[in-house]
Amino acid sequence: MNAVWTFLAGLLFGLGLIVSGMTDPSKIIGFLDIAGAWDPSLAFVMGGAVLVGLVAFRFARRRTASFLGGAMHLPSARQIDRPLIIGSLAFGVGWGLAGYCPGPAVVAFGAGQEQAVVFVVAMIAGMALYEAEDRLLHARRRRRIPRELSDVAGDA
Amino acid sequence: MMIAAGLLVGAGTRYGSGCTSGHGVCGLSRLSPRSLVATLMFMAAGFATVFIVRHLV
Repeated sequence: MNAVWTFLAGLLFGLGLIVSGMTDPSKIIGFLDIAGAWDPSLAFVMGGAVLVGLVAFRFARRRTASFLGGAMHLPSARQIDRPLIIGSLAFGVGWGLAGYCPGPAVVAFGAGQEQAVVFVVAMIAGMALYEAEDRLLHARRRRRIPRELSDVAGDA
Repeated sequence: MMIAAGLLVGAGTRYGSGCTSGHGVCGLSRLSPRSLVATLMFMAAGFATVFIVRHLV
């Protein structure tokens, strides 16, 4: 039953993106092109979504379990760090180049837009690259810290 | 172009722990300062990229 609700939530999200025109890269580029014929649609779509979200997340914060019975996983990170800034900047450059971000790209992929297929495959490769690099970094860090030091750090 | 953009979006989403939906819609809805910074960053980068591609190159 959970799978059905999850599917319906995805369906609603995808439909929202299609109806609002966000799966059309030219709408996104039109929004990002402030020096050209600026198309403010995206700001309204995002504003409308945030209005719904403000109510929904206020409600969600008070719950300990989701409607589907799973544990609530609201983000708890607070620090504004280098990964957040660098990652978001890289994201923005890719977003501006293609006019796709992950959600709409997956919907456009489903619609068989040729460019979206190329984009989504590259996007998954980009995520895999991040994972591989992250794992490599962690492994290297573990090797570099001597056991005594890491034990002390662990106690602290 | 699509390949480069996809790689940037994929790696950027993971590295910055969110995208337009994650930070831009859900994060702002939760009034998260982290998401506000991320949203300003990718908006700025997006505006700059389109400006360069459309008007300078």
